Amino acid sequence: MKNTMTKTKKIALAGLLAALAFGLSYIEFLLPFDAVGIPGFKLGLANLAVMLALYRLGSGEAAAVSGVRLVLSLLLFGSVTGFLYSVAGAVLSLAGMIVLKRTNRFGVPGVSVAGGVLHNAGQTLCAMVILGTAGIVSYLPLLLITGAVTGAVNGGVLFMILKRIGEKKHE
Amino acid sequence: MKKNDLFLLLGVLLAAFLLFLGLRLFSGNGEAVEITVTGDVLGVYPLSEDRIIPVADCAEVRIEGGRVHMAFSDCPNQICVRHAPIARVGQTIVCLPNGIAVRILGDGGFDAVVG
Repeated sequence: MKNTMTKTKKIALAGLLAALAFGLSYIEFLLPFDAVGIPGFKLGLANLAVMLALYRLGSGEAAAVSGVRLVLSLLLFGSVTGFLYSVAGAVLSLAGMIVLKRTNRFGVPGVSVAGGVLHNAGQTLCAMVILGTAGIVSYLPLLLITGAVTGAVNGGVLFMILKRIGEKKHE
Repeated sequence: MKKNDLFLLLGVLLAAFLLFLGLRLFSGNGEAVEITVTGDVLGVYPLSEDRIIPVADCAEVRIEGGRVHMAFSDCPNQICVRHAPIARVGQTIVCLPNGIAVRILGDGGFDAVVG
């Protein structure tokens, strides 16, 4: 089967993945993971959809999926400060994943781990800037660990998904 | 799945562990607590005397027996309230929704602010 995609097909798939990302965000919003007792702990499910876009479509589409998800989340259940943290995390995370993927030295799980870790690091940095105190760095070790672990789990899931539907072939 | 993936994961975990150790190692018991609201210093209070400090009508910080905790906050997630009491230099409780940061200072904490 040929794996090249028409532009229309790409746009349709990107839209679908954006909807999926938003749906996954909503699921996370409903689940009270704050109860775990780790401030800022998230499963990062939406990153599954963003990474699917990254691997099936490309960097630009992944950024679009991530951006649409952020704005929708802001409109439906976000606050403006929360949005700043989300953007900081999402931008750093996606940038890191794109770079790591380009090096061709890492597989899906590794890229996902980087995404999870950088997302949390970005949010921590953002908090340091907004609150104007460096003390927040004391939250970082735990957030690095949770980011790496959730990233690894998501990466494993995505690895299995991509094995079945296949990665992007050359166009 | 590549070998590098595993190295990356272990590398991050190691880095987090070292960072944790580093932060822990260089922090003795604190002298004072600094409360900031979106970057502006509200005040610095000694840990030696118990005190109840209201913060901007939306939260309350308490110093009890040399340890500090967030006794109350009107924020939706209550993460700051559930945070364990802090007493070591550099330890921080933040309330992101209200923009409050409660941070333990060491020797010279007063100087740093007053001077």
